[in-house]
Amino acid sequence: MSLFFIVSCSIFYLSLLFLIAYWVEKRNKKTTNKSWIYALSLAVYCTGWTYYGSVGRATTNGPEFLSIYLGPSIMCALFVPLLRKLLRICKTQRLNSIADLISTRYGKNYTLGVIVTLCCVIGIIPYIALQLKAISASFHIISNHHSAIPAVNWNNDTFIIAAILSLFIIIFGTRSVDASERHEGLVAAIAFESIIKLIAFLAVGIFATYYLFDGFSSVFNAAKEAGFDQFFTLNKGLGNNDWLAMILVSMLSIIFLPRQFQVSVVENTNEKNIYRAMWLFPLYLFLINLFVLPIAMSGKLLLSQSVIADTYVLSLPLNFNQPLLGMLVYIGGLSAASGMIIVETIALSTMLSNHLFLPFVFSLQKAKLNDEKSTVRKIIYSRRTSIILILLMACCYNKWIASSTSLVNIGLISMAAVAQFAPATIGGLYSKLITRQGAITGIVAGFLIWFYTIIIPNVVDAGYLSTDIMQYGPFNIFWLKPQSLFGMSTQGLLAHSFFWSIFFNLGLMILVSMCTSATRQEEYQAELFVNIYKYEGITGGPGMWKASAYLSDVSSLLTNFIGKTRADNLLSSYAQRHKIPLTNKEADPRIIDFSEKILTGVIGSASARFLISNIAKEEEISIDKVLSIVKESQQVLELNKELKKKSGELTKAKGELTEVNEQLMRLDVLKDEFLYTVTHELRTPLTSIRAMSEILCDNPEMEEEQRQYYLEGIVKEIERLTYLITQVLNLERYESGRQKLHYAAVDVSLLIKDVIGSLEPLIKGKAITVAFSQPSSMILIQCDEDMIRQVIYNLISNAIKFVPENTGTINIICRTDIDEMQVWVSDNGKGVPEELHELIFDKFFQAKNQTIQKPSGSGLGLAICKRIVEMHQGSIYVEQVLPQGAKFVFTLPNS
Amino acid sequence: MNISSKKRSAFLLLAALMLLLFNAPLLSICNKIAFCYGIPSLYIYLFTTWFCCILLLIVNATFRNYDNNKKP
Repeated sequence: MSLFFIVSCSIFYLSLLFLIAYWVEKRNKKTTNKSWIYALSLAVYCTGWTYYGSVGRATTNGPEFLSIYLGPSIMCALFVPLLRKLLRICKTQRLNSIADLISTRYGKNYTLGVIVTLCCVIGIIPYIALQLKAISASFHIISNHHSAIPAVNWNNDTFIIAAILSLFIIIFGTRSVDASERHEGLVAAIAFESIIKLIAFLAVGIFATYYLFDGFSSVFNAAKEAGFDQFFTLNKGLGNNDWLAMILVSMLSIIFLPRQFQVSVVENTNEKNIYRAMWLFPLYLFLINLFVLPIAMSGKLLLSQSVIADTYVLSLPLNFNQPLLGMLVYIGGLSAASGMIIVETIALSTMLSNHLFLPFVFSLQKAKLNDEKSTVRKIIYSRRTSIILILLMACCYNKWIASSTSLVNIGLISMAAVAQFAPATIGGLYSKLITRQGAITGIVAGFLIWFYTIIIPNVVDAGYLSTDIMQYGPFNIFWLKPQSLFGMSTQGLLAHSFFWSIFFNLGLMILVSMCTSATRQEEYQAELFVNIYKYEGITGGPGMWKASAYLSDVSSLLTNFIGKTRADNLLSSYAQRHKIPLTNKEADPRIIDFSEKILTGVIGSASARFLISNIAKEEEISIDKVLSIVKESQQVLELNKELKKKSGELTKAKGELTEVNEQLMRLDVLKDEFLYTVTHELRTPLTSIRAMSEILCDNPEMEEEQRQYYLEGIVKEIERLTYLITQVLNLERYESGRQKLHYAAVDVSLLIKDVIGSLEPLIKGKAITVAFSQPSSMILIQCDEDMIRQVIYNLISNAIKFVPENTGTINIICRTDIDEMQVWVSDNGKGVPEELHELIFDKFFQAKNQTIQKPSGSGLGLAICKRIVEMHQGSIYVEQVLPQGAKFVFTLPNS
Repeated sequence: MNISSKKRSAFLLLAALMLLLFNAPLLSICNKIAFCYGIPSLYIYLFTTWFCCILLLIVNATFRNYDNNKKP
């Protein structure tokens, strides 16, 4: 393939990354679904080492490489307890690196920041160098293949690659002076790279498995027949605990590697994004590892022995004349390596400039800090210098050291280095016991042991040290042999190193912590870290310091670091949010605290602390006081919540009361109406009785016959009065619930027949027909016989009242099904208009609505029926019958 | 966003389960040269278990709702 084509492809790809980053930063930020981008950006974990090295590792160690990806998958399950807490802390305190996190937890301590930064730089630079080497090596292979053009000098192209990448990083990584601000464009570019490397790797995997062979079983069979048993089992890994150590180390590295911390914590825009990442990221790892073994086997089976296993991914397509696939693989590898370099360099440069350079610059030029432009420039330059310095160091490492050192394990070695931060960080997140001295001792001890047990053997391998130290120990002290410290010799290299480093790290950290005590600042931070969820919603957080400073000093300090407009905007909006007057000469403590946080985002917590302490006269208050302030604001918050709840309850209760009140009023009106109607109803017969009695009284010589007529009238009216009063009393008894039901098994059809028999005189008098269709079987119902008789009586007598003479017919049907028994009483009277179907069952309905002619009856019959049926848990209603008439139905439950 | 302690402990247990599934005593059962449909047993075990764990993560992170009234 021509050199020109490869170079232009590489440049085209890198420009595409520029474009994506630029486009995302420019456009409306709300449109992207950030949880996908977030999850994909975590895949920056898969570096060139994954891309090329996994196959190489699989060739010698079989499935052992999988542990490096199983560990992160396990860690994903711990995202909710661990990463979420880290996110919350880093967001509230605006922390922007792992060094910042650890130094802040232990009282914003400079020393810790420096130590963590140095450990990171020492641990990670070889890893970056490895990536540069991967890019240049892949470039070398693809350009040299079947081509006569001589390759560019190996070391020079690392420098060129480093230069191009540093340009990209400087443009997109150091745009804003605020390091805690997110680089959305850059993260999108990283997510894009993750997709490209996955596609490329899957493509070559499918090519190796399905094009060169006939699927998985065919590759495995071929390898089995060729006797490559190392592919099928874990040779030593399980026995010497290397497998377990690799899982644990990779678990920790997914949080503590600077690039992982950068993408998962600093660049996180929303806490909820971790819910997608926690399954999408393991799925990504799953997919990218699916074809590693088949590729390794194909390479081993089909390529000549001279080809290095690390390059199988690229050599396979090239050897089988697939230059385009080769190009895709090359671009994928470029993605994997460049993504890692970009993010790692940004993370490291922030640490380096915030914890090493800037404190140095500030302490030198304390007086000259008041020039806005020069300060901002200083920070940006310091960060850019760090970027260039890191890449330069990586290049130098490649040029002078890497060529002679075995690079196979560099990735794991780096991960083991950053795992040393785990005890201090996780311990600090969940326990207030760990002190600054404990953390420092632990990290330093762990890091030294790491160096001694894992770097020294590598250095010896490279020939820089005599092998005596490996065989007999330093100064012939046998129990100090780097690979079997204190005589522990059965463990693998990594397991041995990881065990001893973490053992000393954790042990010394706890031991020293128990012998020392924390400063107030530390205690305060410990409280904020451990109980972060408790302080949710407390705005700004309580200040550790009761600082007094001039507002003008604070605002000019902020102006120096973030520019005048931004500083003014931030301060005024904060003041407005928390109702702090900005007119006072003295700054409110909350303003000082807020400014410190803003500065922390720019230059790290320790420096921010230092600068604020320069302008503010501070009075250190005891942790108890701070806690009591915290508690107070917490209580106020809780009280507020409770009050809100109470007030809600009150409003609800009030609503209920109003409703009940309205109901009572309605009932009151009803009662008045009832009384009025009852008295009215009672007065009608009374008036007749009085009139007739007066007639009798005034005419003593009335004829016997006439007197008899009036007396009969009086008796009739009195009967009506009695009947009415009985009805009212009955209804009242039913409604008040005083009436007890005497349940008994009643044959309803017998009851109906009985009632019809008692109404026979009326029926005959009007010459109407009453038909009762009896059911085939006996219907027994549990009910109060007398009351149900009354219902049936009322319904039939009502029907008799309203049917026309001679032609009137009444049909009574009784039927039953599983749930209930129904009685239909239908007639061909004038019917009930639809709008009255409900009202008809009201008390005195007909009395109220009498228009032309008052029908006989009390107007209580249907109301009583309804009440009785309801007491039996049944229902009663009326329907229109066509062409004319009404049908009354009542039901009683069967059980 | 508050997460119920039930959900938190579900994830903790899942992590513990995965640590067990991917380590020595269990793993050594499949760590031998044996084939199932032409594919090595260790390979099958690791990848199927891994995939099942991812499914559990999906269910736990996306669908499972421990709060009754709150969506995760």
